[in-house]
Amino acid sequence: MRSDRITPLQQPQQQQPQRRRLLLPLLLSLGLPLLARAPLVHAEDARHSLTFKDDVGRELTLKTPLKRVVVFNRYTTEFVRAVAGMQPVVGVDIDSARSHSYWPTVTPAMLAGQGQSSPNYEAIVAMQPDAVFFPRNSDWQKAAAVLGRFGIPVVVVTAWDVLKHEENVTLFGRLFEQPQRAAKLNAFYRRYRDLLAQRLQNLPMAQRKRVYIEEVGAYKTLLKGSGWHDMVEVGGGVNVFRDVSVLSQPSARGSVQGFSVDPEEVVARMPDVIVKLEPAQYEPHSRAFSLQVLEAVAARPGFDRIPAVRNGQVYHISYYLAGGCSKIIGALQIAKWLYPDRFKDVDPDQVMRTWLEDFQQVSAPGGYTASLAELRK
Amino acid sequence: MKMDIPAPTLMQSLQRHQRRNALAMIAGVALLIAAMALAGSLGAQKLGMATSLRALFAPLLPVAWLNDIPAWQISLLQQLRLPRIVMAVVAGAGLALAGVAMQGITRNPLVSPYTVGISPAAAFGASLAILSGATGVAGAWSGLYLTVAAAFASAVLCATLVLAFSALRGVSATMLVLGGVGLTYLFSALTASVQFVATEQQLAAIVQWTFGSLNGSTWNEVAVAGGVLLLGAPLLQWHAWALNAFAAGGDDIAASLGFAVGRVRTVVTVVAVMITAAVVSFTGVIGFVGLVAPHIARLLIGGDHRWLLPFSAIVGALLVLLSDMAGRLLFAPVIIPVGIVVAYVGVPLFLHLLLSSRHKAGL
Amino acid sequence: MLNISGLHYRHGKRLILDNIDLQVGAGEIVGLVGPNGAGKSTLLKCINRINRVMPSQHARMTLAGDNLQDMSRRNLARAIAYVPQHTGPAMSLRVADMIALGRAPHRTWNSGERDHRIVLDAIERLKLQELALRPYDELSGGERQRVLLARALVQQGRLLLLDEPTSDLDLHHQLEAMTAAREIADAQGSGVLIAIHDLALAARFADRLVMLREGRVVAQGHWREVLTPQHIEAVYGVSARIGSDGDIPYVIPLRTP
Repeated sequence: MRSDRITPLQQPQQQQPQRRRLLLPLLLSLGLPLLARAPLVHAEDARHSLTFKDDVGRELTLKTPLKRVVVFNRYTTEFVRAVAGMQPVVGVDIDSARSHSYWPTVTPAMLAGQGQSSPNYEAIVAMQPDAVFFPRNSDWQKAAAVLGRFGIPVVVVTAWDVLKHEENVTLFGRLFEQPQRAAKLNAFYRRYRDLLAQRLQNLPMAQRKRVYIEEVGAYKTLLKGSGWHDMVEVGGGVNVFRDVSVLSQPSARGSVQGFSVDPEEVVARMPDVIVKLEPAQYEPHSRAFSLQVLEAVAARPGFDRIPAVRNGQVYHISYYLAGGCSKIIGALQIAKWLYPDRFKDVDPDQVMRTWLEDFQQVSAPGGYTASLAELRK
Repeated sequence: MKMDIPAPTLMQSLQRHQRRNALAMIAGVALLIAAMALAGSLGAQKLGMATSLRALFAPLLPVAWLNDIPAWQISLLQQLRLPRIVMAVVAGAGLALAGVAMQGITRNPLVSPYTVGISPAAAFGASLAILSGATGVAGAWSGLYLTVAAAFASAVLCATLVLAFSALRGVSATMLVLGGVGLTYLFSALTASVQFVATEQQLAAIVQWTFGSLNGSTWNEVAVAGGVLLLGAPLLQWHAWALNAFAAGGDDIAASLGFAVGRVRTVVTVVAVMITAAVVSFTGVIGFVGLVAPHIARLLIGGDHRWLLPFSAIVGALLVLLSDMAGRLLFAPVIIPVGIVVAYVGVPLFLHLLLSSRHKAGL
Repeated sequence: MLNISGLHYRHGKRLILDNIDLQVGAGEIVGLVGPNGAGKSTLLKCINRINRVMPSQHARMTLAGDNLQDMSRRNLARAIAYVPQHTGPAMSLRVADMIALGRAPHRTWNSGERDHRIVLDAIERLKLQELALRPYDELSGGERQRVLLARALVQQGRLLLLDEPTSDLDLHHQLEAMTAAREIADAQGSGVLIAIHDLALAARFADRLVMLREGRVVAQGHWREVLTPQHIEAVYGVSARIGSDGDIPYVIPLRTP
């Protein structure tokens, strides 16, 4: 009875198929990338070439205009739509696929994966894009390595980075050969950015309103280094927690840091205005929901002493409006709340409408903000 | 040697048992191959069986047979799907083997690569690498491999600590388990601390890593992990009898049967750790397989490690492969990380087996 | 066969075994008796080197002339078979495989067939045919003991060490286990050293007795010489009546003085 012989015999059998399976593809992988590039050369004529540096400093050369792109990250997709329309977009992430009313031209077949951290490489390859856009806070390195084998370039563009707004928009203008539309968008952005800077220029720090900004989690505020903090300060407010700094990396710009603060500290700092961010999509919150959120904030223990609550200057703003067009619209709204006299002639809702209708080609439902004072009436 | 009348029936029943085990192994391997073929033909891109087989063996076939298949589809199969499938098999087999080995030498059915601290340590290493920001640097390869190297180094460090502690107090089963549990908590806390100070995008990357995913597996990764597995598996099989002795009787018995207890324990631990670290560094944390695949195998084939080791490997490979398929296909094209699906697939299976074979669950 | 002289064993500061002299001949059963904590188990573990004994010029432990301290692990396992007192909850292994473990020290790459025959033979001898394919932990105490004896049997050692083989067994199985030990001694010519509580059982089956108290040998020899009321009172603190019913000895504890 070769009871203990059977096992030694089986081990080699198990090993060999595994080795053989590795050998062939290893050999193939040497030769195939050459093959893989072939079908991607379009039998196209008038295409130019553009060499540029992407957000992480990689130098890339692409054929323009880009005709087929896969885009990860909603902010990037918005910019592409603003500059080039949805026509060149062949693949999106789940965020864009979910909201049908905001992205009416997106079909389920265009879904290229959950999101920037877990793209579906097979789907992307099947879409045969000219380029794939990733923000820098994604697994772009892995994507570049994998997609590179298929000759598909990965371009790192971080559209949510407000500091790079104009640079990104200009780049898109060149990539999609739509310089005028890019210029128009930049002009739109610059106009309001300059407006804010101008009107707040002579407002000394001591007179600026103090703002406590809170994200969706209770007692989670945003600090210097976060794009939302910048939005408040660009809008002329002073973040009551601006003195707090958490050790953060240079690459932290524009990220949201849900920094937990002591409730007593919030009360102690006596903010003039409270701004509460709530997540939302294209569809705005119902009035009832907004009221509920604001009343909950006002009802917190100790908050009745805060000037903001006493004056009803508690505002609810959806991330959607706040983040629109690199947060400039949010900044505008905040400026309007803080200094209604200085910004009497500015209508943030109208600006939002322009952004949505002209640049995003969807209708503007309105109602992205609510104030406690208003709702109490 | 006189064989009386009763003996032939005993001999026969023993032979029948052996044959049954051999059949189970063959069936397992066949099932695995079938699953791999199926996984090859399914995906975001639906290629028929015939097409996938043709694409797989492309270099061996005449060009005429391949005319209708676009080169990018062949490439997709060769570069995306096949490495992913093989990685699933390697990861499942490796983690299961590590689990069996560790359970055997500690005589503890609750031990797995996870509970001995290896996986949490790897997660910590990866999170440190991500935190350092160096992974975001464009320099193509450095960032990718930094995370892998950090995870691997951290896992090996943890194992060294566990073994060092036990060496001080005698390499006993209890020491390994307790030391491992302690380090599990330590590394989990360390990872949580890293998550606490990380920025949002770093946090997302860290959390993503802990899900355990086979997305984007490349042949290079397969070669490294597979290589370690191919080296380690025969080594473990060599110690199958030692594992039987440990599991069946404990240190004293094993020693009295002539096994070098301390040395075997150390060798087996090192091999199990290396295999786990090699797998987990690339795929992230895929839990559950190392714990449960051995038990599923035990319920089907018994506790003799000569059979249990290879059969656990097959069960583990099947578990991970099928989970990855489910994760890829159920909500296509959204891919659910395999680390999440494995528990959903494995637990019902495990409970079913446990309940239906209560009388022979000699755990 | 087994020859121990001048053995000392320390655990930490405590001296557990003090100057032990003991012999076990081929085919001989020696019963090791004594109260709890006398050092019986410890002595057995010293012999098969589970306990590490510091080498000293006065102590010698030899088996058929070979120095036990110098033997390799494997050779030691070939020479000495050990059946422990407590087998903790084992992870499931079939009876046949449990027994086959005993062949581990003898196994070479081509010994499969021979090992298998020896295992089958042991199963027969200890009447374990019905249980051969059952998982070990489903067995009763008596059945488990037989399996462990079978494992010791296939180890084919020159010396068999049994640590309290009858403590958990009922009357029937007690007799069975001791009879099996006797058979092994007779059939293989091994020396058998049994640490055992039951004095009457020890006296009945052993050729000689060694009585230990607090790590020292108090008496050695035929049971009539060792099991005297004086010895029993000195060692156990109990007065007892010893006698025999024909060939079968009995020990009746009377009262504590």
